[in-house]
Amino acid sequence: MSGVIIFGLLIALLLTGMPIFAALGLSSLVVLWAMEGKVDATADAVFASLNSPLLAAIPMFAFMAHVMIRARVVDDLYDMANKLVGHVKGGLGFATILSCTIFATISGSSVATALTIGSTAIPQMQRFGYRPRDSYGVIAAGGTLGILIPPSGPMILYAIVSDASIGALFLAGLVPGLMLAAIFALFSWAQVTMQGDTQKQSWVGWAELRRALAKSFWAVMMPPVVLGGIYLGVFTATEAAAIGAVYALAVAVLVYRNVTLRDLWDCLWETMRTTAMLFMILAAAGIFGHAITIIRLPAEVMEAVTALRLGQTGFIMAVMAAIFVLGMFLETIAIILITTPIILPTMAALGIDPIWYGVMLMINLELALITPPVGMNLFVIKGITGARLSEIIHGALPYVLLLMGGLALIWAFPQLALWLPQASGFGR
Amino acid sequence: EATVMRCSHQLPPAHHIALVVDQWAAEVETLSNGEIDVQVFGADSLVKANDNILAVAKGDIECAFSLNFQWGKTLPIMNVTVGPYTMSSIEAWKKWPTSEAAAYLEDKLSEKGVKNVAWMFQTNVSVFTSKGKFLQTPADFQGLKMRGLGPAFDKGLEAMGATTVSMPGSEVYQALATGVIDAAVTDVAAAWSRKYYEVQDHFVVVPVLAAYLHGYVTPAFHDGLTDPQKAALKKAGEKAAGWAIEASIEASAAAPDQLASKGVQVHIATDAENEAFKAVMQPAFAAGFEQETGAEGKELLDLIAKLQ
Amino acid sequence: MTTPRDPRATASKGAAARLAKWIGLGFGALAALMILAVLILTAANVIGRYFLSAPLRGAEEATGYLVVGMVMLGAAEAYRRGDHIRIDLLSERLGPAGQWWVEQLSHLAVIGFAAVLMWTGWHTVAFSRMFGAYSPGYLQVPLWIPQTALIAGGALLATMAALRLLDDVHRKITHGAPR
Ligand code: NA
Ligand code: NA
Repeated sequence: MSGVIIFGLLIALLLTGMPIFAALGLSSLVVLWAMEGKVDATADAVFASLNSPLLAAIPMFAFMAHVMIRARVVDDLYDMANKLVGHVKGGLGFATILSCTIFATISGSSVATALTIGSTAIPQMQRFGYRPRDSYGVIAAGGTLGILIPPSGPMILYAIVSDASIGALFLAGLVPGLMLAAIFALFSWAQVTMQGDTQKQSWVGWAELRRALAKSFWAVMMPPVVLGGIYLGVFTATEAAAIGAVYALAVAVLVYRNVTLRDLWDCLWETMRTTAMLFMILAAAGIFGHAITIIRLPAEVMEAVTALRLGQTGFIMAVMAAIFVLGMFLETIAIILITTPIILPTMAALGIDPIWYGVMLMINLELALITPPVGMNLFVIKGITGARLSEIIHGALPYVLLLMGGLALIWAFPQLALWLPQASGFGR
Repeated sequence: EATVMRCSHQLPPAHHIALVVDQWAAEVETLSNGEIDVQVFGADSLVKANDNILAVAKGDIECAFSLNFQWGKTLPIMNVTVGPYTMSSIEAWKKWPTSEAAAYLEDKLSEKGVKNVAWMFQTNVSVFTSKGKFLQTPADFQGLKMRGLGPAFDKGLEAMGATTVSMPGSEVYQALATGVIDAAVTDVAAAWSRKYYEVQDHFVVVPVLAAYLHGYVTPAFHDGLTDPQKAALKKAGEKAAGWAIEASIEASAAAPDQLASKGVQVHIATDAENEAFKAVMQPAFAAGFEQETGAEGKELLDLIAKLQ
Repeated sequence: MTTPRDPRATASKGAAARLAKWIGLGFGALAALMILAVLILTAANVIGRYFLSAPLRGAEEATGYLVVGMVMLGAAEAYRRGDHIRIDLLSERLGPAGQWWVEQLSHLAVIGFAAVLMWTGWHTVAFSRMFGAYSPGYLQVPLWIPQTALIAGGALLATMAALRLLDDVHRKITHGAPR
């Protein structure tokens, strides 16, 4: 009952059109005041949610993207991608999902993936005739791959809480990640094809393509350089964000030589605004998470689900449904920390494979990133484009259904997730 | 109406000491005849590891558990057991909860602003993990990049020539896999639960340091309890101290074999090897500890010497 | 990303708007410099660790505190520019007059929340000073120093929302028309 009141209050505040962080903050204050009689934890919760070196990857990737756009490095990259696949109808959607997939192998964060690829791909897709809403959907969904395709910050967190193998989880995410990428790409292609007014380029010929490839050399080199650095042990996946930004700076200043100090400051300034906007929501979601955790609301929901004494199938469906609902309001890290410890004992009792569950959890968290009212990837796109949130939500909606379909597939065919880790010697 | 006591800790739910915390919580409820309702929030789910101390001291929540060295410079004397080979024997640990040394630290915690309620011995068995060869002598550490345990303990590693690196806990597995760092030192049970055997292949088991997870409550909250409730809390704490030792002995005993079963090389350090480590690491730690804790640190070390 | 997200937000030339602009630009610049600091710190740590075996062990901790700082100091400028995201489903169906009132409600909500953040931040800082709390890692700085960002963030955000409220009301009185 208190849950209905709390979420009802939050939704009511959100609908007034006040900033999301203020709505989250105020509803938390009401909960804390009513249930605890004090709001002292507010500042502490803000500090705790923001005081994380892992979060710093997001402004670093944002800065990298800004520099690459400002120096027109991105134009060369997209020109190349367009010449490669632009003559295929809907090819740009493919190129965008492919970029997200590649970027996901560098980044452990979905927000960073959506931010980086989105700020370069959305304008290009629209330039070539994509409906704005469709381009938002592709990025919202493609970005979520960041946490399913290894490396993945949330997977590591889940592995530590659940005692599952990190290596096995990483491998388990790969096939479902690629599968979802393919589903997204196919859907985007179908959407554009049926719509019919997208511009189609004619095939430019091999010589032209080679020229475009040569011109985009520095942009194309970025993933191998960053991936190489990670897998050769030079830097961690989080540090890779800063290294990527340094690489972009070096290419802009030394190779392209088309940016002034003023341009770079503008990039930093835009990064600051985006970061402040995104992270204020994160901070307020931190207070909200604290407020409902301390009154044991999520615990009671999960315990109620657990107490239903369902079989394996019923249990997983109920847990996934509960996490989907929590995912509408809470942020991914909070969901993992709050739900996992509570359901672990039942999971063990029912003999549910923690790796299999982990992959389903990740897909559910991908859903959380694109479901309103609190969906970080939606906000990223809002930050990049300034579009109306309702338009972005509309664009992301089909992908919500596709992700649910992906979740159902992994549930029906556990081997999609488990085959690769088992074949690599994990488990037993 | 029962008094609610929210307890935060950082351990994952299956950790052997997390289970002891749950057992302790149930015991507090039983001994207080249900007058204290203990709600445990593990795995960082309510308050994060590094924020527990202030959250309890301030009264945001009533109770939390921290590892001793998490006090850091805030209360450096809590680092005492991190001293290389300072508290290596289980016998000393069994005497600990009711010892003068523990009482001394409880006073220090009170002066600082939290009321200690339980000492849960977590480990005295650590492992040096590495790839390719054992870290068997101080010379083996020369030039290695290692994830350390914090400023106090790392002085000993640096004295052996290692470079200690700081990174978030969630990054360590991958950093070991890719070679950003070469080696790590961790509790043997953690080496198992955090799957270091997937990315490291040589493990040297050493009783190099002792760590405890200690439970503490907000002083004002404690003052508000009735005398029987306070007694229940005290009694449950003493019982839990015993359970923790049993659980830790069991976990430490099983872990080397578990690690070996994963096909990695496990070596139990010999007395001579431990002496060699101690000779290099101990003086380096002691210098720093003395500088930070002064006469009080010396007094505490004397009390600890009586336990051995 | 260079498009002004809410052009109405920066259109005014009144005294309150000018003050808001200076506050936003000044503290926003500090926040931007913190992002630059994270970039430099991380790169220096990687170089130090990989090439020189001399990592910056405080980098991890400092980065966390810089993230707190960049958000707390940058949030006011983001508010001035109308960057903070809203659910626009209902409010966009209201007429200009209705939107004006919704906007003022939003300013009040932000003032309320930011004031609580500032107030509780003050308590946190005061308590950390009294307690003598230090950061738990290698930096060993008194914890109240990075926590001060909470007070600053709350104060800046409340001030910014109040200035925008003042400006909106002033313009409504002088020009009559909503916006
Ligand atoms: Na990833
Ligand atoms: Na959501």
